[in-house]
Amino acid sequence: MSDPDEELAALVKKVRARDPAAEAALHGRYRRFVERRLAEARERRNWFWLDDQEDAVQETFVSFFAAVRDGRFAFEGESRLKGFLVRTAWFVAMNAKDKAPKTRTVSLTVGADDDANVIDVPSFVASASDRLARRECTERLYAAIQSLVDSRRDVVLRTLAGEKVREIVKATGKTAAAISGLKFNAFKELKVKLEENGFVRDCGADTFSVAAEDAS
Amino acid sequence: MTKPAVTKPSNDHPTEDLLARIADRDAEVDAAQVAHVSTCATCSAAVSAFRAVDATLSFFAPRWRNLCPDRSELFALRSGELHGFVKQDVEKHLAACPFCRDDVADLDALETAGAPSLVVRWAKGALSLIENALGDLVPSPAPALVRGAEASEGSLAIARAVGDARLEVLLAPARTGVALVARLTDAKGEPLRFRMELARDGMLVEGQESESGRVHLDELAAGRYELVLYRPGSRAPACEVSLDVRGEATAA
Repeated sequence: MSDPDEELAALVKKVRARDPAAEAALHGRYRRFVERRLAEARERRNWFWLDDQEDAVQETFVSFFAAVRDGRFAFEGESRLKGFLVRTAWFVAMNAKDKAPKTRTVSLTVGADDDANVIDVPSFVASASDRLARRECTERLYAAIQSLVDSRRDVVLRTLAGEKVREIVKATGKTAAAISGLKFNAFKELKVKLEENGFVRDCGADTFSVAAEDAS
Repeated sequence: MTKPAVTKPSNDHPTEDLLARIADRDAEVDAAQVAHVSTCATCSAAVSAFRAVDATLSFFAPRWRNLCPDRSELFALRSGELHGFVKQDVEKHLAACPFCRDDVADLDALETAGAPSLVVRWAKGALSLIENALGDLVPSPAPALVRGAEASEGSLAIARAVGDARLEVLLAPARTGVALVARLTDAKGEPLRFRMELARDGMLVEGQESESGRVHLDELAAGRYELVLYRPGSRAPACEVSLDVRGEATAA
């Protein structure tokens, strides 16, 4: 390890020992680096949801110091330290993105053309991780949706994509009463299909009953 | 002390579309109809069943990310730390999920930001200076985007009050497409901070935070947009407006 690295290694060791002066030294040294990376990524990627960049910088360092103290970060050179800071800043930014209003929708369709805002349903269903034990449940749910008649399936897929009734009205040209009525009958039919294909028994026992409790 | 008025439940079962709206907790449904549901076992069961399906769909909806791998796995994939079937699993999901692809693109931007992006910014800045200089020599085409308006910084497409502030949206021709400028000012004309999102056909097209009370978007294609404005510290929209880039603006 070079001399500058040895100095850094010593600082990191002190942070692990909860030395506030060492934390302040590392913060002072790399604050601008994190700030610049966040600012440039924010501009390039249009992170309109990142309201408070300074807050994100501080949170990055808080998380970084916690990782050092917990032994989740081991110093192996300045390059790795910077890489870890970038990784931490990414997680902080993504948490902020999760909290932003969900205004973005995607279209759900079968056999989609290549379009960044369209999810091809069969591909998405097949990609649901088995390790999350959800692929089979997802397949049953989407199979039930696919078996609905066109108008009902369309309303359900749009609901899944995050569209509200008024947005579905605008997109389809139908009246609000027609869409609400379609939605009611679609959900009624879907519930029967999910009971028949074992989704409620095998997968929905938790989600369905929790959903029913939340619904009441 | 007077007791609050009790709504008498309707004797008639609500229609299916009304039941759906009651299940959706639509505040505009007649109170008598809502009261009926709480006294009618059949209607109450129908509403509960609707909400159960709705909540299940929410859980499995792609945008809530319950079917997505943990972000630490996305990071590990990008860092070359995943192998075997786990790697295949995550790659397969990435190919199918625009939300995860968005996250990975954000990571790429963070990792590759640095000197090259500064060079690009300087180059853009230099180009902008040259364009501005040329603009004095080459007259820009007269905008005919908003009827009855004159070209200045652009043609005023929207002017309306947003609480105690004033929103103005101007349109002008750009090198390609249309340029949009939105500005929010207080009663004294001082600029106010805001965030603006522009959507078309339900898809988010642009979202930006104001610089000095102003948002400038270039290269908008002609079409009908929904403009949503947020004030700092609030997740509820302060203003929602429909905007026809080649016609008159209409309020939402």
